[in-house]
Amino acid sequence: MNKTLYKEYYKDFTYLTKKANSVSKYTLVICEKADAAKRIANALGEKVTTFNILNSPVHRVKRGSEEYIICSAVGHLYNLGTTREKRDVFPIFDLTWYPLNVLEKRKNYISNKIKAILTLSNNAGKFVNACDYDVEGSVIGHNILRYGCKAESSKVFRAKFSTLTKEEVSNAFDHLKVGVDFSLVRAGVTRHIIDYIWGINLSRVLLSALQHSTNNVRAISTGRVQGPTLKFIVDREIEIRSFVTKPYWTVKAFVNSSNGKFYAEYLKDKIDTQSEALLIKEENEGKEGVVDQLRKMTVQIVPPTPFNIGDLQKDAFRLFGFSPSLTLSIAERLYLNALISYPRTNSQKLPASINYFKIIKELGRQTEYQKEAAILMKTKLVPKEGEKYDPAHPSIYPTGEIPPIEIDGRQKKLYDLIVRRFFSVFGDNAFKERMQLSIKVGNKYFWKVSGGRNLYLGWLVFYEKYSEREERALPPLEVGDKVLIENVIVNEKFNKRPPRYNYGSLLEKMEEENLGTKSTRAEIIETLYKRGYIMGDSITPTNLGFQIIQILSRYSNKIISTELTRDLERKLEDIENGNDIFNEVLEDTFYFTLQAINDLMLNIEDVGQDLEQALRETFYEKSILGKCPQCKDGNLIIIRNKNNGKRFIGCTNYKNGCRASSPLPQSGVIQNTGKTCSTCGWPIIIVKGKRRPWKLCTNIKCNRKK
Amino acid sequence: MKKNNKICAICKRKVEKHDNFCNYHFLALLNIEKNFQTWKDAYENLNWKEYLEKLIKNEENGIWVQEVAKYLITEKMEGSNV
Repeated sequence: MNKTLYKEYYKDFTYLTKKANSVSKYTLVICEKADAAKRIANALGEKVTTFNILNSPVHRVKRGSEEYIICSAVGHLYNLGTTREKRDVFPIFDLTWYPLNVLEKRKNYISNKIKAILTLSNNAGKFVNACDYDVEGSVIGHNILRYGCKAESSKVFRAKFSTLTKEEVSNAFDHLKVGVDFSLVRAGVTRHIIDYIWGINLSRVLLSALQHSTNNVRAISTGRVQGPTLKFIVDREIEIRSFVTKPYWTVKAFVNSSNGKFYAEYLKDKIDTQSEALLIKEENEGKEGVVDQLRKMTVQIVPPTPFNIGDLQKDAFRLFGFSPSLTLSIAERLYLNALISYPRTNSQKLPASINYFKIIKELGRQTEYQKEAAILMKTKLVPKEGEKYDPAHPSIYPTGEIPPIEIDGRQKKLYDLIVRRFFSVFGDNAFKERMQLSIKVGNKYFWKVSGGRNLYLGWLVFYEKYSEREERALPPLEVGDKVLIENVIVNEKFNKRPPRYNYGSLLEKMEEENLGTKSTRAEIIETLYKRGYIMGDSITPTNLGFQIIQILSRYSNKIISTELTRDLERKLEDIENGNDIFNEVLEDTFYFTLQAINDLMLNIEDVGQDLEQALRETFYEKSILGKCPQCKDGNLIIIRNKNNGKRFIGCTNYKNGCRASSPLPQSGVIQNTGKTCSTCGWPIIIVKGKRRPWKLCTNIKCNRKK
Repeated sequence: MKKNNKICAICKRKVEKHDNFCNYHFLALLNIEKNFQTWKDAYENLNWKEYLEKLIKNEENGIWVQEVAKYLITEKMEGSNV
């Protein structure tokens, strides 16, 4: 410890020692993050003093006669680990909670956090768990209080709030819940245990199988939700790769009328045979038609439901291209700035207790929402709610606080989306008129022209910017008007293959299948990327991903069964709702894990060989940079010289005489861009090293470089 | 589990349900066969070889379908005889 730090620590420590000797004891408040701690401190009293203990900021504030010391964690400070030291042992069922710095060396800073909290707890008379009010927040706070502070449960309280506004935090501290929130803690702990047991045992079996077959070993894993999620992606890829399209034809006509020219579509959208399409062209082109019918229909479009995290992630991906994890982290920043309510919620409900009118009025103080707020403040505020309910928090809504100038562009975008969605749930239904005009040629052929117009915008006034509805006006024609079918255009088309999942659609699928939770889904997708099982924005499984699913479905199909995972999620929800089935769920998990280990161990040689092959193929797949522009047959791949270990690019067609090759930068990670140089046609790569990443053409003789 | 050492004629994966193809290419073959009649009706008088050529050229078709179609043309194999 350097001198200044020591002084600082000593000063703070002196204060705490003095406190320990004094009669009055303070209340120690544990928060999940530093920003939340600061906000809570400011909400509890006017005069906040901040000091540091072992580099951790701590806030001191007086509220009435009571003194509060508010400190923060950095997410989980404790995690599950096994008591067995050897890394190749399984099955593992003996677990305990360890400080994170014991499990992960790079998290050394956790040790100081824990020491700081321990020091503070010495003289605390009361403890408040003020971590986020959900399963994870409850576990984080509970573990700190249990292992860090060793607090007696009679001295423990729980604060429940959904926004970090002064009013709500203050209200939560006026109505603290006594004791530990056992249902949430139990549900969280069960989830951690199951995931750990499942993940560590099955991953170790796979690793052991790989070691059985090769010395070239790398991290390989599967998990309770990870497996079934990867299976969705692989199943979709199988569908795509074995897809046979079907031909069909569409026919449209260029129509001339006294009121202008326009396009009409043939009444039947898809024509199955080429001959039928050509016959329509032959018998309609140059013929006169008559407007036969004009059908009008009024449709009602109901407002959307308030955002829960899943809906917000989907819309943010659709509108701004934000990945779900990015959306979640931006939403959390907005929450910590007290601009929105707690984002990790499943709820589509907006309780009246949040005071709609007050929020809308506050939002109206911002120029961009003045008009919308003024409209809503004149109406009776009844939100359109969805069916999903979350006992811990309402749906995501803006608090009404004015955003500080320093919030960045992405935060602004997400904030605007949340505010406009909030407004729109109070809007009226929108009304549109859909129209279809029918043109008859002879007695056999019918053409249609569709269009529409807005009758009443309703909620769309607030959300038009983000809605996808565009209307086309109809040509001004009446029944009986004559028109000329000037030209008939026949188009040969093919059925589209199923689309690959993207971030948004995969999240939707996981939600639909009840896989994972609102807080873990985005993280699971990230893990699949990190493990090298999937790649690209349009999510494609790698060879390794394919092979993992093939192996698991061949040797232990249950591991990737959606039904099993879904059933477990339901049970975890039951525990969260107070149902005492904790032991039963754990027993099932132990039994199932043993069964799965047994299935895989019986085929350990095959599993190992399949994995080894998959790794080799994935390595090869990654080394391909693109087609060779010289022989136009082989692929340009990254090769390492066996003598000096230097890497270069060469053609796979070397044995057939192609001598395309070029040196590559020797340091840094090479990333393929998938693009080729416009001058020489060689692949363009990005090299990421210690310096700024740089883009370059791989051809050393490229004319552009001369 | 009975060991089978035969490998797929296209990708060198192990064969399981079919003599020449792995499960993935076999699935593609089944889809090719299943859709032949639809294509025949759509274009009238389309023969097996023309059908396979159309499948190879069309990028909507899956990669395994294209690989199987190429293999069938090279090996001059009829659908049901493969």
